[in-house]
Amino acid sequence: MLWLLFLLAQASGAQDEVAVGERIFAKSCAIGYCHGSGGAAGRAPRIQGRSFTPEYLLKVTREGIPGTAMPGWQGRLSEEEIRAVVAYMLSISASGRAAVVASGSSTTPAPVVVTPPDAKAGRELFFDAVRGTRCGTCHALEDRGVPVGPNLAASPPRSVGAIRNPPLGEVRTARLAGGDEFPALLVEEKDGWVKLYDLTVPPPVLRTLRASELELSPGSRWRHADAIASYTDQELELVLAYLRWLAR
Amino acid sequence: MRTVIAAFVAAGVLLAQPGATGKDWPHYGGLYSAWRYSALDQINRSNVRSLRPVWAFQTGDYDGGLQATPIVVDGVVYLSTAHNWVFALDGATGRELWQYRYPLPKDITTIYGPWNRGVAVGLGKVFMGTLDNHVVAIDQKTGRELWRVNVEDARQCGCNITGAPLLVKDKVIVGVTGGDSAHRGYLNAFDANTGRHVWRFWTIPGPGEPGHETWPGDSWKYGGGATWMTGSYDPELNLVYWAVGNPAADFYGEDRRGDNLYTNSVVALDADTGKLKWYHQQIPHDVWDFDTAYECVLLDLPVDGKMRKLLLNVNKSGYTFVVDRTNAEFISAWPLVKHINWVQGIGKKGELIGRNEPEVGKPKFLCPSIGGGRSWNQGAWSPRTGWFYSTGLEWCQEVTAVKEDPVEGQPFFGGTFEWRHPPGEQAHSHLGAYDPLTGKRFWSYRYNYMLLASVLATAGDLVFTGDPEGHFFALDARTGEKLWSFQTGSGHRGSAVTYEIGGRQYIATPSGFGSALAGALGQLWPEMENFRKGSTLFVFALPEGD
Repeated sequence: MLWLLFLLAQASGAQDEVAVGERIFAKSCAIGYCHGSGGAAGRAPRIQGRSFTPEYLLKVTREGIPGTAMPGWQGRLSEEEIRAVVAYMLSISASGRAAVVASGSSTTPAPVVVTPPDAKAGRELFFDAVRGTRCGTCHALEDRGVPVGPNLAASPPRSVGAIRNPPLGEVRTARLAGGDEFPALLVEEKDGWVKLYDLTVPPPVLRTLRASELELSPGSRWRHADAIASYTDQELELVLAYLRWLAR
Repeated sequence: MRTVIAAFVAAGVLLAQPGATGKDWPHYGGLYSAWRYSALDQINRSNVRSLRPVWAFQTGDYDGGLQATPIVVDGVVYLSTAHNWVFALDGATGRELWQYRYPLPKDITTIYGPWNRGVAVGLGKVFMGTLDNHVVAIDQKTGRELWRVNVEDARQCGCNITGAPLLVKDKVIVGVTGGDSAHRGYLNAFDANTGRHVWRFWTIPGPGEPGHETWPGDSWKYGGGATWMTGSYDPELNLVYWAVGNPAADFYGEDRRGDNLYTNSVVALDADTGKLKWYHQQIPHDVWDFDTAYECVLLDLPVDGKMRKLLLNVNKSGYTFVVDRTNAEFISAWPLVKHINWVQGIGKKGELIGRNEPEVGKPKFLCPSIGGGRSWNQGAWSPRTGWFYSTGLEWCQEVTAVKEDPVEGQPFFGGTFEWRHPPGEQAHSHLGAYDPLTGKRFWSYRYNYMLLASVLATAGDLVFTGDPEGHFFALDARTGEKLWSFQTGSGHRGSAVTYEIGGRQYIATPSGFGSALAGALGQLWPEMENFRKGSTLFVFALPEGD
């Protein structure tokens, strides 16, 4: 009798999990281009009525499928939420609700990292999309931004002044045979061709030029302060707090 | 108005307009005016039955289908594929001259793709937007990359580029996806020679700019307004016309009460500066995902006896809008499909009458579906008949709005939908011939699935398109009678073009089914889940000596 009660309890817990998963699925997976309402197929494959193992669904939901539109949800959904979505998908799959109970619902919560408020504000400023040009236009951190300039988490600038006017040893002046002259960051020199970033205006342009038509000389008139002119000192203090926190 | 157009057609007046392609197919829409009409008439109503394949080119990149418009310049065909591969092919033989494969990051994921709708060619270069939101320039002769610029980090914005760029003078103008994501849309111009950024037009005005007041709170930062298709250009007026898509969240509008400018609008921009000259908003405060994203067809027609410079734009809602392209004055709006219930109608000034909006938590039956009264594939206009040829889709859906908060770069739909057959009949589609001003239909070709490929019209009085089952076919432009058909082996989602080399006319069509919409058609027709993918360019001509 007790054993039966336990089974029932487990099943009803699983039902709750399916209901939670259904809500998450509707919002995150069913939407326009993806798996369709109720998993009935969208641009992405149908879930309804097909056969899956719980392990496969967990792996794909967590990690995504590289090279396709399927993103990894680890970090965007909690482990509980991922398991709930998988439970829901199993419930609408060919295996049906029985598979949900069989798959169990033990969870291993991921460690939670809390960003301090000033670092959080700094991160928002770093990637502030409202500005046409922001720090992230030329620097990448935490899997966001464009990695043209140096990795700022490796050795954060010491002060706001150092952010405005960092050492620019790597930026050179490129002169083309046609007369065009621009600040450049060398990327690669190979087989008579040069790849470099043209820094004239943001965003930087990766150009491939014939070495014979190009002359590179040290130094340039380019100033980092011009590129980040939209930031106040106060804002840069917060950006600094973010960089320091990343380098902690 | 019809009789007046007919009189002008009879007098041949419309043929004098510079919109017909000749030997080349130089731009996405044919010429800048986006007619998708060719003056070539070697292949015509009397001999099209002899049309046969002369070569086929398999790209090998079949996931996502082949959605491009091939560009043809001086006998060379430039073709782009879903994962940003570009091929230069000899237009007469199909011989590969070069290929370029854009190095996409392995871990890329996007809800807008994988697909690509074409390149722009000019100034010795081939230009393409990429799935990871770059613009790239390739040497037209060698296929070597010249420059590449990351418009905005795709991982952050959740946006990318799938539409063909528009090359205007020395600027390459590129739109962006992201209309169903928490993103603020824009249109960018880059210097074609160096890749340097020249101007940006934000489709959602920022603080202090006119129109910003149509977005409460922070909604402007995440309001969509994608520019995902390709615009047109009027050299005389030096104006670039671009259609701006829906606001986000698509179905839930409570947090963005207001007109939401310039979403669902056609904007006219100074080609040199990107400054807004005028806008015409078709759907203020859209809550149906009815993008104004499709082609801007530029044509001059008599309105009440007076020639006017016009712009015709098919909206996803099933309505086609015509405005004066010098000043945005509303001329007319007409329905392309039968099943429309999101509004009761459109008034004399273009105003919406009787809005029927989705509701939170309660499914509502709405027509057409968000797949559109037509999809993005383009129509065609023939100055010989004076008619606009377009596909139309008859289908509906149940939409349930859901309150949703934006997360930057993440999908932001604010609801869900399920496709439904329309009241009293099966979902289906048609290709019709319409008066461009009144929408009067002269003939209609019915098809039992959805027609999702562009239309090509020619001076041979033919219209060509393809269907999802793989047939590529020609109809008589004057009667709609089917004259010729060829099975290409995979469905059609791209755009056919025509060109001439050495006195011989060729018709080229992409074949290869795929796209967001194509994949979801299984909701209505389960057998469509098994329709085969592909990625092949088929080229046809008359037998030599004919």
